[in-house]
Amino acid sequence: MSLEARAVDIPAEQTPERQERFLGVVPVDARLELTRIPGVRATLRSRWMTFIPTTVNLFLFLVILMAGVVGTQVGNANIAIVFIWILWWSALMLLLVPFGSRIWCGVCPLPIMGEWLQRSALVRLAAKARGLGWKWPKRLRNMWVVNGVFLGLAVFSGILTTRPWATVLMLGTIMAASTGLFLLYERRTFCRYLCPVGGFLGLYANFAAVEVRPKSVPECLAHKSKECILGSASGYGCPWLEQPTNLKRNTYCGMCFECFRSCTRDNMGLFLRPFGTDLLVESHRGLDESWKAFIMLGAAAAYSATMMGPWGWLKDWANLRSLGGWAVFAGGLAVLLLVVLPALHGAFAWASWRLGGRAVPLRRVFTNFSYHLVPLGLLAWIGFSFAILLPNGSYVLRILSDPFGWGWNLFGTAHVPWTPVLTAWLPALQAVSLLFGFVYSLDIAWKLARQTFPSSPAAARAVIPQIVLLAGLTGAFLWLFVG
Amino acid sequence: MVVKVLERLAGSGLGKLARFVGEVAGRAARSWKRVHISERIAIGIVALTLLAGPAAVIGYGRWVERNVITVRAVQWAYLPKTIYATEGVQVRLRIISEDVVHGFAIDGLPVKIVELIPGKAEDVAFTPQAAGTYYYQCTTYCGVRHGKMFGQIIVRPKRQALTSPPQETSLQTR
Amino acid sequence: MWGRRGRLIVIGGALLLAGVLLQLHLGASPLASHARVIAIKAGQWRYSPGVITVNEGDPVTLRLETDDVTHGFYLDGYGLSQAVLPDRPVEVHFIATRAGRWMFRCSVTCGPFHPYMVGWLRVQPNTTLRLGWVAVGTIGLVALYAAWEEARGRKEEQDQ
Repeated sequence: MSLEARAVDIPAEQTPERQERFLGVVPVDARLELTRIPGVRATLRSRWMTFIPTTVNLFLFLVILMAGVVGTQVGNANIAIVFIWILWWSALMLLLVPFGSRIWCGVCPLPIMGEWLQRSALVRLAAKARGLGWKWPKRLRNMWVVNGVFLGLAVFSGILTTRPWATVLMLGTIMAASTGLFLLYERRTFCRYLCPVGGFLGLYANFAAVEVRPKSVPECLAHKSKECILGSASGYGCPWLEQPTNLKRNTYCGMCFECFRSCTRDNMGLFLRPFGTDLLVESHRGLDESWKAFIMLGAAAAYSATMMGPWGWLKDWANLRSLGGWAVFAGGLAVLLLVVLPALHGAFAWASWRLGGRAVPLRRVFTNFSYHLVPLGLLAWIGFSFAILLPNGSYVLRILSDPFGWGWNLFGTAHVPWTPVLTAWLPALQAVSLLFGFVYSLDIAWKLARQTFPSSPAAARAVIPQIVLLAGLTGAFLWLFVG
Repeated sequence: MVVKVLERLAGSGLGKLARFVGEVAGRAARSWKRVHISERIAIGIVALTLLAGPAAVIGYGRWVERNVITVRAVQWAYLPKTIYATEGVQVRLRIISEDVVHGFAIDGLPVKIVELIPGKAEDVAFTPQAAGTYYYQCTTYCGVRHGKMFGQIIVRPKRQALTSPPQETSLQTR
Repeated sequence: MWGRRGRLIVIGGALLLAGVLLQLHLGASPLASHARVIAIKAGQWRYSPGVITVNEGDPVTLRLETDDVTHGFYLDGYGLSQAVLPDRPVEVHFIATRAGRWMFRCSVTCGPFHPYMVGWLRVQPNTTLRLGWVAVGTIGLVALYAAWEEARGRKEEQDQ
């Protein structure tokens, strides 16, 4: 199958010039419609296709919940720690986000009981939602709340990732809170504005290689009934409070495929596309997403330093050995993520603004240029995930046979010893990931500069500080990972 | 007389509650009939998941441990501290460390585990030939209070076990 | 044909070549190698010292000891694995044939923070890091040159 430019009338604001290419190779507007493949469309339209994986995940989650409460508190012998922080987290960063956008959200078990209760339906189409259906306050319709929640969890990451009871307390709270919020607020308000996982999934989904979009925008414009937003006889209105006709970025599309069902014109499609496409879309950009980018980039560095670094005092702080030490850790992390990184970015954004001729507002320069931190950030997380997965992935085999650490042996693999895999390749894998992220970030930075500044020479001058910043960040991560 | 009692019960709060439950059950039964077959299947699957998951885990766990006493080793104690056994009857122990590497040895019985890897269960079986009290202790240094880490197995004589009521022969001690 | 893109590729290639040659030159005269004996104490949940630096080719003896609980030692890239019992120091020997920075980690569960019990072994010269930095530098310089060209080139056009 060959890549083909989408032969539709794309509004000019949605894509830069048609000739733009990523890394000089892949056209920015190259799309391959996956729903044309036989079976794909039918599968995505089926409600069972979401119900079954989600219910399986719900079962796994219940097992994890039990394991956290009554299972062994030895982390690597407990399914809660191994499946969440080794298997699921690595899978998110390495596979699910880059190649599936927010596909995890489509099968996440945490809010599902809330959604079932809210709809009073599992696989059928209910006529009316049963919850109170409140609307989320306008001022909070952004990522600021999830930024706060994520940071609030990040300062406890030492405990959360090593104590089964803590992992399960966190997940159980998210499940309980989401169930309650589904009954109070409309549709997937929780997932959209409160879920800490959703925050970074949303931003990094802009880098993903798949998207849900209308097949033909003029078709949507001509169709006045707005079924995808309000619902129809065959599907709910978009649970994620998006407007599928107007879907421009992956940020808040939860890959639930409800719009595939509600659209009577069958005008929604799943498309394969180049990485990073949404980072160039000038729609609903904001400082909340900029700060999310800073938080994720900084967290990748902080976690690598704490968990993969040699500094015992830092580990003691993260492990709450002393309250004072942890306070320094928490405060330091907050300052690094909320102040230092943004200030660093701000300094270079200011330089870009000056060099670009000051014609464009500084705030716009700051915001736009924060999006090129996404490829580097995601690839840094991928590098970090390799460092978790390769040494410790073998625990999964043991857990399958003995999820609670009680001495079971369901499949005969309970005595598989800890076996690091391919750790000789770890530095190379991490270096290559970072370099790929660096190159991609440079490409995005250049395109963002062209978008932001009025003329090409101005953009070229403005991108110079960004090149320096990206090179510096990549060099620093290289030192952290392989130096 | 019975009718009078029933009449009084029906009028009371208990009766009201019973009537309410009956009403809800009736409504549920009627609306269940109206629910589409695919939805019924989905509800069945979810109910199975929510109930069967925990039930299967607990049930299987109980079945696996039906003749085994689980001893947990933590810094710096064994739980349980006391195990009861009977002379001539096999004892099966499953020892699991909950934090660091411990050891396990029973003084006077052929049981010694040098290394309890945390999270990895070690099974031992033995048959005490003589009644008495045997002490088990940690044989691998595991921290400052390593020396205080011990417990005891009280082996009762066969005679006493035979004359005692049946429930006393249970090996399950928590 | 030999337009902007061609020039960029040539410059990029030249820089990269220069970097690699520099790297090879540095590697050609190896750092003096001599036997090392380093004592490492394992404790909950770090190694002291946490960072060890040796030269490529050094025969290394690590004297591992601990005084709290049983720990372990596993060296990435070398596949060495050794348990360390309290008050029973043990030695591992190896020759640092692989350059770069390798993590050594605890291989025996020793408490909650066991997965993060990590130390760094630096075998100089750290080729991976240097090549990585050379790549970043090269790509960065090429990008800067391209930006400079773009900023300057159009200006010249406008001046005409």
